[in-house]
Amino acid sequence: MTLEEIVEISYPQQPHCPTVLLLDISGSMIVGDKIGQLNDGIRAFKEEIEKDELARKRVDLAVVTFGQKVDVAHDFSSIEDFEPPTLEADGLTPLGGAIKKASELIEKRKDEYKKEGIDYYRPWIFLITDGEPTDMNEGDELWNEVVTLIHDGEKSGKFLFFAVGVDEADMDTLAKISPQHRTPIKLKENHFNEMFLWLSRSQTKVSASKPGETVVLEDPFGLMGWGEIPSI
Amino acid sequence: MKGSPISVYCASVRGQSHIKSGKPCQDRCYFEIFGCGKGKGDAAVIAVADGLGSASHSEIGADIAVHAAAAEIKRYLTTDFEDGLTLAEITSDETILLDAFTAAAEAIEKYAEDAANGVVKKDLACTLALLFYFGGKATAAQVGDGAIVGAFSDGRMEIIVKPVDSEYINEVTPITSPDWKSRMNMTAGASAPVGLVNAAVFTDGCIGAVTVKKDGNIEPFEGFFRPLFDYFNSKNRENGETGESDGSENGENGENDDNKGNNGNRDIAGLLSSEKMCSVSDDDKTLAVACFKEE
Repeated sequence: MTLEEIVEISYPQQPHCPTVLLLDISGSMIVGDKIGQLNDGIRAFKEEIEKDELARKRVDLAVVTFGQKVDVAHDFSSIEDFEPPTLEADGLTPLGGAIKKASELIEKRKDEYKKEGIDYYRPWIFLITDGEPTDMNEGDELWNEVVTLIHDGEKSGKFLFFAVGVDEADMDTLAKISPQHRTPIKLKENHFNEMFLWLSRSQTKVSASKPGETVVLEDPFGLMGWGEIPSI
Repeated sequence: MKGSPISVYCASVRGQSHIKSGKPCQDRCYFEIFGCGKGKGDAAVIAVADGLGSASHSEIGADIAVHAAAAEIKRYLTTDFEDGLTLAEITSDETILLDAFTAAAEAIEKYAEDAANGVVKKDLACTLALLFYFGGKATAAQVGDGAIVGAFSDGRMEIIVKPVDSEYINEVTPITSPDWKSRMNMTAGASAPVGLVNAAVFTDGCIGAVTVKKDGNIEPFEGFFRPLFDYFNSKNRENGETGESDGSENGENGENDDNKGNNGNRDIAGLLSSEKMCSVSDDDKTLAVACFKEE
């Protein structure tokens, strides 16, 4: 008998790779059918992740929207169980409350992982907005709370925060909210699909990474990229 | 070492991901069994290092680390102080281990300083796990995300050294980090295990297959370790009759190079490369198994 035949192994649960899509569904997202492109992009993201054998076992996705209200449009689930919501644009841009909600969801998810003994990767919060926050102003209580939450959260390794501005997004405000070392990206017009494909490739890479391995993300600003350097 | 009450078997194998990408195995394992002077019996040191995937020359760092650390422990165990005492006998286990890790970190630093090809310290980043056994007592520590499991004469089996806590699975502190001292798990002094019959030192590539998590705590998966230890204990008994002990192909163990009569190292390499183990992780894998019996 070989050693392989005589030993049993433990089949651990796959480590999980959680991401929150933090999506602006304010009324202005109707312009140029950005909301339609967003919905298509989410579906494309799911399809791409499902194509990768490892990523589909490991990537967990949640969707938090902000428009008429802050809403958990889809709580965390595996990609297999993720049913892309059809989002409708309406209302204002309560970004501050939405960021707080995304952070809460992540902490709750981490607690679940810990309870179940599941290893996990550092979560991502991926914000897409075409406007400016309507529930906070620079320097007010909510603003300070949200900026501290993002900056401290990044610094202490709670999550990675990415911000993407679409169309008329207030890039100056996004830059103030974002971690200093990660400038927000301005989406090229009609490049929602390319952005979601980039996100799926990034998550595929992260979910396959091993301890001590640096994950190099594709440059979103290249010729074939979806991002523009914001002019702020 | 012929007739030694200690045997060690080990292997490091390249993971599927490194085979696909053409990268070398970045794990290293080295062990040595040696006499500690008249009437003091044998001692063993086992060093296992895992080169970080993000470091371009981490297999070199891992190689330097295992040799430098083992040499420092051997120095303590074999250097006479006075009145028939060795340096190890007048030094705390904690100090010996800290000095061994420091020797590894400094040897890597020196290699980087002397390197003419632009290699810098972070290119050599690796983890390090160490176990030394002397006088019926094991002392162990690690900086990194592997683990050390022990089986005891009373039937207990437990993790002797846990992986150093890191919230996220793909993050680890290497011994090239300035923070390594604060990121070390150690079992020494009063907490050092006695009555140890077997020990296994392994890298994170094995950890999913050979451990379980219960209520947030990591525990050895007995379905793996009991038959594994039985296999080598039985091999050891057979060897005892002929006075042989295995050599370490991977560990380049000078003391044991002349003992190629057994294939324990090859058995471990076969296990680590097996479909069973690779179904859990495509990372490089190292496993060292030690058998201790009373003299």
